[in-house]
Amino acid sequence: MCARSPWSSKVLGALLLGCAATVTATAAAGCGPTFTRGSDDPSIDEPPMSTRLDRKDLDIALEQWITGFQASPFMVTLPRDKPSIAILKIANDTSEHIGGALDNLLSEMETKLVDTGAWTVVDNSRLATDANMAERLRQLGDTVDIETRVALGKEYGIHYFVLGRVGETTEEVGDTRRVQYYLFLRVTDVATNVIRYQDQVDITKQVED
Amino acid sequence: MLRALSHLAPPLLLLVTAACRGTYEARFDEVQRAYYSGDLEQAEDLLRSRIRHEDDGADADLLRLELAQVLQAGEHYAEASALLEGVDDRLLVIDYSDAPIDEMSRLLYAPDRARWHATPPERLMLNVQNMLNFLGQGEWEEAAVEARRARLQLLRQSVPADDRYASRFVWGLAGICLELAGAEGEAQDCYRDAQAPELERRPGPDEGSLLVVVQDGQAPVRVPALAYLWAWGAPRRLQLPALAPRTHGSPRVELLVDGASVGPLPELLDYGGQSLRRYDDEFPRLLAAAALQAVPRAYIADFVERGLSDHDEPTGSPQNTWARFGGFVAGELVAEALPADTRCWTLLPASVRATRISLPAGTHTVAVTLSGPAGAGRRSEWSVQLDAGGFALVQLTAAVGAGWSHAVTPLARDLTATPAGQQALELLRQPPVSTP
Repeated sequence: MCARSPWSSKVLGALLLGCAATVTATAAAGCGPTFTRGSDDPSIDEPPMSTRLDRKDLDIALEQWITGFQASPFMVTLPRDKPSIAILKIANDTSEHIGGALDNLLSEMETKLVDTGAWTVVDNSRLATDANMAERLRQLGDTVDIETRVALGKEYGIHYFVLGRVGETTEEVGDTRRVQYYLFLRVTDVATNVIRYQDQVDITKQVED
Repeated sequence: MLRALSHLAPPLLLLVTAACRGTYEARFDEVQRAYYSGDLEQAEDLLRSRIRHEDDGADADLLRLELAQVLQAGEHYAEASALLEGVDDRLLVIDYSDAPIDEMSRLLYAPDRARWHATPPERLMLNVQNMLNFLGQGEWEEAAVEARRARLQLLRQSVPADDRYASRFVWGLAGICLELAGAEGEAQDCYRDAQAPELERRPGPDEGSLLVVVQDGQAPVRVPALAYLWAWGAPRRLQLPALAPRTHGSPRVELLVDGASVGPLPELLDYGGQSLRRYDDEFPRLLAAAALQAVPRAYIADFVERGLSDHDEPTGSPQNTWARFGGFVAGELVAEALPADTRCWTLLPASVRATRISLPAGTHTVAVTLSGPAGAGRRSEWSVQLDAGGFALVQLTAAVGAGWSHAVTPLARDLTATPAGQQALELLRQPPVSTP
């Protein structure tokens, strides 16, 4: 009968333990979602993850619009006494739930206008706290009626207002779906109802299954 | 004996696996029982528990749709709308009236349950329910988004003009959503297609608008059904997803405001009837998809029979008779282990009644009475505050609390002589199968 070497038992036991540990670790690593912080890896903001408008789309759109606005003849000839402006509404005319993104866009536009140093910006949230004005804004179509303009001028001292809308064209071929958004923003004189500046920015998103 | 068992073992194993898995319908009975008996909390708990356990499973989307229905019935509109919005982005759809037969067969009879695919009417009902959810929250712009989605579907399906008017509730509801969001042009397009003046009533000065919606009855559900086709000198058993009607709802639903009758609520959407008519159109293709499953089963039966046969013995010998029986049993076992997929959105209503009325600004008592069989009735009441130019939704899911019983499974039929059966037989003749 052969004597069993104590070393072979130990080696075998160590091997088994090592295998078990490796399998467990591998299984644990393969389970569950992986979370990443944007500050650790800024590149996670880059790829699109849906056909909805994300922050990058809005940043690009806003930058393009503000650049055109600041270079426009209207801005060049703007008086230096910092007239007041308010962004009334950016309507969602699409079949995508982008209301949250448009609220963010509105806030970012207000910030950009403040940063230009040329405007006194009347916060949209201040308008929304007035029930009558909120109802007027809710019912705004493509134009602002005279009663609302009068209210904007008298109650809030607003000289210009911005009205916008986002529309879309959606097309599908096979497993590919393309959504072409257009963001249209217009600056209007409260007193005269004359359009002082308008521009359209186009954004396209596509998904392929 | 051992040889016979070794040939029959794989189909037996398949059958045991299928039995352990159970069917979605059997596991959903508890939810239906709770929902239709009026215990929304219990139905919600059961669904949330299943969603937790099957978060990314094949039934995930369907479970969320069912949960959204339960939440809506309890007027938890915000959570219901979030659920539906999430499912909407990833919902898979198959149209049984024109999808390729092999794709239908693959989806309906997958051994490992395929991810659930909605039918186009179910897909549309997702947007209909979410329009109601957003109206219930006062989120007009979000409701308008759902309205546009519903419109896109109706237009994309190239629905004939006559059938489009059968969806007048959908068009009318979309019109209301777009009108409230200020999209007057789009609203007018929807109202024109709806031809439902009951939904286009606008309030006058110092008036508000009240929309009353009653979702009634229980939508037809898919149930497993058997059919037979004679092929290769033997009856071939096919498992089909049949559509079984359930209760349509109350024959009469009355609306009362401040104690005075406004009249009966008109039925604007017969979802149950439309589903049943659509199923009649789909049936030949469903039968063909089931027949396609008979082909590999025939191969398996043939394989088992050949394995058990003794080629030195004459055809009528006891050994070869048992071999033929063994082949038949193997084919039947495989058929039993691969039942048709009968998953569907179970908690949808069979019909929708609705009307829109204008009321003076102020507080009103709104009541809906439902007449049941033999004069029995139920009454639901709400207190509604309306501002001048305002809008309010009163929504009732009448099936909650009305009771529930299993849908009736149709009897097995021999479809050999029917046109649909003849189409299926033609399909069976195409691939070579050596079974005599």
